[in-house]
Amino acid sequence: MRGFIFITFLLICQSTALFAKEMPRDILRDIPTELSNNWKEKAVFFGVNKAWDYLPQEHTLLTYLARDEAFNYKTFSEEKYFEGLTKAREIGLKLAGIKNWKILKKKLIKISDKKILIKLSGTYLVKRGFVKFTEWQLFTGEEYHQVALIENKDAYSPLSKKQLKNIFHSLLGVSP
Amino acid sequence: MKTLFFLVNFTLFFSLQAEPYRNLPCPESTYDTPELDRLMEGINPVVNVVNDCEEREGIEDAYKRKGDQGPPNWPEALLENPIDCIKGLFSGLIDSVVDISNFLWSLLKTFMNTLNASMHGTYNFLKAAFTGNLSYWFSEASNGASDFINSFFESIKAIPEAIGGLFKDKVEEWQCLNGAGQSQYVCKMIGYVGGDTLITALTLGGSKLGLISKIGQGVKKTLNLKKKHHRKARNVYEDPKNPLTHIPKRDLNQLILDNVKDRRFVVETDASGHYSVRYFDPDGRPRMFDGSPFYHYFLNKKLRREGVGTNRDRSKGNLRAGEHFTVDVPPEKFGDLMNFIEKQKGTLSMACTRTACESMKATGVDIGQKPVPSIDGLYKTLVKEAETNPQVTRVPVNLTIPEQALVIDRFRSNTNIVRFNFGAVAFSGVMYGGATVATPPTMVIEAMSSHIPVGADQPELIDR
Repeated sequence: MRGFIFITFLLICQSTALFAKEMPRDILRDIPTELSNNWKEKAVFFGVNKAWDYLPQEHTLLTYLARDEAFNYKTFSEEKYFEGLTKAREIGLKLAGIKNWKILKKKLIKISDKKILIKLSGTYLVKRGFVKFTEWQLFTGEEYHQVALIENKDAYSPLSKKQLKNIFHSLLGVSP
Repeated sequence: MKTLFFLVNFTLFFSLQAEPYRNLPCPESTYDTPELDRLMEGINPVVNVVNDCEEREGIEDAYKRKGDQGPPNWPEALLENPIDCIKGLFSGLIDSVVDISNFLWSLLKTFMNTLNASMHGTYNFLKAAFTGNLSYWFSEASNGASDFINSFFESIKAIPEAIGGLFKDKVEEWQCLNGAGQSQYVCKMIGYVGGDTLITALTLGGSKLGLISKIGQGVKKTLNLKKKHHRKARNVYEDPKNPLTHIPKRDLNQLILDNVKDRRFVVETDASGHYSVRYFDPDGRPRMFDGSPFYHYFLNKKLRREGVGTNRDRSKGNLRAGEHFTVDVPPEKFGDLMNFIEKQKGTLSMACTRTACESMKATGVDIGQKPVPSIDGLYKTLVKEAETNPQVTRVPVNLTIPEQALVIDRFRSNTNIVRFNFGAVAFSGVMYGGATVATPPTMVIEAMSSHIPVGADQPELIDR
C-alpha cells in the first residue's frame, strides 16, 4: 500500500509537466523578490499553478492558481455567490478531510464593470486543529485568479499585513 | 470544461503512462535458472526473466534523482527494487484507470451539462470557486503523498452520508466487508477509482441525486457502451459450423477434482483487466469474488444481472464454464518461490496477473507484502505476439471445460492456438492465448498438470 502511495506521488509529480502545458498564462507570477525570504516554491500538482512553503513555520502555505473563466458582473449575485461558495467548499473539501470551512470576513471590490476582487478570510478544521485562511479571488472577465494563504490558527503571521497584501497584489497582478 | 480539467489530465496522464509497458526491446538476459528449477521441481516451472530493461533505466534514473533514501516509513522492498514495485502496483492498474477515467470524464460532461442548466447564471462563478477548492486540497492533503491518499481513503467513508444510498453498498464492499479474504489493496484501489466518481458527484452537486438516472443515460449514450463493452461472443452452440456443437454443457463443479477444489480458480477477465474470480473454498464450495465491482456495476449490465458487481460470494448456480482461464496454485511452493525471487533483487521477477494474485489471496494463499509485479503488460504482449505466429488461429469464446480440452488437444498438433510461457511461475506458467488481436481477450490458461501428463511430449514454448 505504501508503495502505491509513493508511486502515486511520483506519478502525480511527474504529471506536473503535463499540466504545465495546459495552464493558462501568468504562470510566471511570483512573490516579489524583496519579500521572498523564507518562502520556498514547492512542486505542485493539479489544482494550483504555484505554491510556496513558509520555511520557518510548518503548515504555512501560499498558493496561486489561474483559470480561464468567463465572468459577467451583470449576472453576478453576491449573496448567492457566497452562499454557493461556502456550500461548494464544504462539500468539495470534505474529501480532503477539511470541515467547517467558514467565511468570517468578506469584501467585494468592483474594480471595473468586468473586473471584481473578492477578499475572504476565515477558518476551517482539519485533524491538526483550526486553520486560518486568507483568500483573494480575482474575476477579470475571462479569467479567474486566486491566491490563498493557509496558516495554523495559532501561528504567528509570517509577514506584516502590508507585506502580505503586496504579495497578494503581486500574484494577482492588480495594483494595491 | 476547464473546471475539472484535472480529471482530463488525469486520464491523459494515465493514458500516456500506459505506453511504455508495451514491447520494449531488451537485450537477452544472462540469468540462469537451476536454483529456481530445483525449487519448482515437480511442478513444471516456467521461468520468466525480468525483461523490462528500458523501463527500468528510466524509472531508476527518476528514482535516483529523488535521492537514495526515502522516508523511513517506506517499505524496504520499495527502496531495494522500485521497478518491481512500480510495475507490480501500477502496470495492471493503468488500463483500469484509463478505462474508468474515460468513463468518469463522460460522467463529468453529462453532469456538467445537467448542472449547467439547473444552476443558471450562478454556475460559472461557482465553477471557478470550486476550482479554488483544489488549493485547499493541495494545502491539506498533499504534504505527504501518504497523507493525501490516506485522507482520500478516509474520506470515502463520508461518502454514503453525502450521496445517500446510491453508493452505500459499494462503499461497504470497498471496505472489504464480505469476509472473502480479498486484500485491502484491491478494495482500496477500487475505492479509489470509485472515489473519483464520487468526488465528481459531490463537487458538482451531490445533493442532486435525482440526476443520477439522467446521468447514467447520458453516460451510456456518450460511451456507446453496448458497442464498447458488450462484445457479443459467438455462441458455439448456435453456430452450425462449429464442430464443438455436440459437446453438452456441463456443471463446472462436477469437473473439478476433489483434490484441487481448494485451489482451483476460474478467472474471468476482459481487455481492461476487470475480472471476477470464481473459486472453490477448502470445503469444495464454489465461490465468487468480483475484482472490479465498480466497473461491473456500472458498465456491464449483463454481469450485474448475474450478480457480479455485488462482490459477494455466489452460489454454485452462478458458476459456469467458458471465457475464463483456470489456474492451479501450489501454495507450499509459492512461499519458497517468493523468497527466492526476493533474493534476486530485481534480476528475477515474480509475475502474476492481478487476477491471479488476487485469486490466490481469495483462496487464502499468503503472498504477504512482497512486491508481486503484474504481467498485464505481458498479457498484451502475448496477444500481439500471436499476430505474427503462423501457427495460431482464433480461439472461440465461451468454451466449456470439455471444449477447452478439445482446443488444447488441437494445440498439441499445432493447429489451433498458441501457447505461451508466462511469468507466473507458481501458476504452472502456461497460457493458451487467443490467436489474433481481434480475438476477445479471453485467454485459456490451464495448469500443465491438468492437461499435459508428465512425460508427455510438450510443444516448444514461445519465448517472450
